[in-house]
Amino acid sequence: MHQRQNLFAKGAVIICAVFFVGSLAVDYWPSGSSLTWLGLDEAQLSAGSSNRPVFLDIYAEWCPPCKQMDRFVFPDDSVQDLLTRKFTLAKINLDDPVWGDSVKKRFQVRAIPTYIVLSPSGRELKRHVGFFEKSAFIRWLGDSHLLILSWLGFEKARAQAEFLDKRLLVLVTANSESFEKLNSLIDIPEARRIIDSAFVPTVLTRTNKSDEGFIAQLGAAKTRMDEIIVLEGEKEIGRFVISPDMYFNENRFLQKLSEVSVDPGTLRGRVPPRRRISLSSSQ
Amino acid sequence: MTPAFLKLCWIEFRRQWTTTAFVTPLLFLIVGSFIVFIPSPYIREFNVGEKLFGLMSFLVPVASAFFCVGLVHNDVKDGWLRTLLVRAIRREEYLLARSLSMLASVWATVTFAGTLPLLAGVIFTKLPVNFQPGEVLALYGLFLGISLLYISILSFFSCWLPGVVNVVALMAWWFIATAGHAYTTFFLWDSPWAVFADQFLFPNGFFDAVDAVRNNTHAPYIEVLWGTASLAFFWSLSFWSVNRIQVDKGSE
Repeated sequence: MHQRQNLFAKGAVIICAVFFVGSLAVDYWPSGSSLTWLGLDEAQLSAGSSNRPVFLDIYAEWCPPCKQMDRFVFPDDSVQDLLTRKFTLAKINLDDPVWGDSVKKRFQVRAIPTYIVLSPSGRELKRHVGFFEKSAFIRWLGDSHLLILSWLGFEKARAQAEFLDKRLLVLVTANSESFEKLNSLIDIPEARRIIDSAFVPTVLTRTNKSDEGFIAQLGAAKTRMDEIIVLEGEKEIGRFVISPDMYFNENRFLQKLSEVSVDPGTLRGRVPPRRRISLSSSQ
Repeated sequence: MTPAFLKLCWIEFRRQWTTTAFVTPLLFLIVGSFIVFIPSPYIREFNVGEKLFGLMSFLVPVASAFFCVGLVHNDVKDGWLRTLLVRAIRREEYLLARSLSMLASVWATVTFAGTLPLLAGVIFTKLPVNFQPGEVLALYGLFLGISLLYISILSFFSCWLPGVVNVVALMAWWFIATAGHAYTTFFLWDSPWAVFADQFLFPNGFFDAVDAVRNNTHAPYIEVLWGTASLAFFWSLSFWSVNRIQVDKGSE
C-alpha cells in the first residue's frame, strides 16, 4: 500500500535526480572556447616580450558565473578576436594548490570570477568582478587599448628618464576607470608629440596599492582629481590638475603641457621649480 | 489523467473560489494597474517585458501565498482529506489535484490582475511599445515554474505546520536565505560547499533564468535545469510528507 502511495514521491525524486545530474553535467561540460590560456608567470614573460597587456581570469570550477562566462562570452568570435589580438591571456584556478592562494593574496581577490588587466610590466590597470554581458565585456576590453596602458611602470619610467635625460611625466589618476577619458586628451597629436619629445610618461593610480607610496611622496593632491606632475631627476618641474574644462578646451591642456615641457629658464617665473622630492625605490 | 482525477481537480478549483477569493483579485488588479500605469518622466517607451516582470514579481508570490494558506492542513482539519481518502482517492492524487487547482487559481488571478492591465497599457499608452514576443513568452513560462515552486514549498510546509504558518515559514525561509546569501557572498565566497548550499538554500534557478532573459545575456537552459531539479525536489518532499501526515487525528 505504502509502495503504491509513494509512487509520485519516487517519480519526483527520480526527476529531481535526473535534472540535478543533468545540470551538474552541463555545468561542468567544457566550453567551446578555443582560447589559449597561459599561467600567470608565462603570461607575464610573454607580455613583457610582446609588450601586450595581460588579461587575467581568476576563476574556480564550481563557480557558476565563471562557467557562464566560459560558455556564453569567451566562445564568441568577436570576444575571441579581441582577446587574442590585444592581450596575453592568463587563467588561474583559485583552487590550484600552487597558484590559488598566492594569486588571491597578491591581487586581493574577494570574489570570483575576477578579471584583471595587467600592464606588460605587471601593474594592475583595471579589474571587474562577476559575470559580464558580452557587449559590456567587449566595451570593457576595448577601453584597455589606451595609450596610457603602453606607458612604463613608475620605477622603469624613472630609470629610463634618467638614462635618456628626459623629464618624467607622472599622471596621477583616481582609478583606472578614468583612463578612457584621459586618453582623449593624451591622444591629441600635439600632446603626443610633446610627450614623446620631452617626457618619459608613467601613470600612478590611487586605487593601486603599489602606487600609494609614490603618490604620497609626490605630494599629489588628496582629491580625486587627475593630476600631472613633472620631475627632472628628483626635482619637481611643475604640476597641474587636469580640470574638467580641459576636456572641452584642449588648448588649455596643451598649454599646461607645453609649460612643463620647456626648460624652466625659458618660462622664468611661470613654472618655478617647487621642491626636491626624495623618491625611495623600494615600495 | 483519469476522469475521476480531472473531476477532483475541478472540485478543488471550485472549492478555492470563495467570496473572499473573488474579491482579492480585484485588489490585485488595482496594484497591477498601478504597476502598469505608474507615471515616470524617465520612461521613454512602454516596455512590455519590463512591465510584465514588475507585475509577475509581485503577483506570483502574493497570489501563491494567498491561495495556499493552510493548503493541506486545513483539509486535514476540516475532514475533507479524510472524505476523499474514504472514496479511494490516493493522498498523492489529492495533493496533485489540489496543487494543480492552486496553480490554475494563481494563474487566473495573474491573468486577471496582471495581463489585463498590461493589454490595456499596450492599447492606451502614448509611448512607443517595445514588445518582444520571445522575452514575454519566456517570462510567462519561467514565472509559471516559479509559481509551481512556491506551491510545492507551501504544500510541503502545510503538511507539517498549521494554518497560515506555512506562508510565515516561507517568508522566514526567504529572509534566512537572503541573509545566508549575503554572508556567503562576503565571507564564504571561496568555499565551493557554501556557494553550493547557498544556491539550494532557496532555489533560485528560475529566478536566475528570469534575470538572464531580462538582461538578454544568454539562453538560460542551465538555470532552467537547476530550477526544475529544485522543483522536483520540493514536489518529492511534498508527496513524501502528504503520505506521512496523520489524517484521522489531524496533524496538530
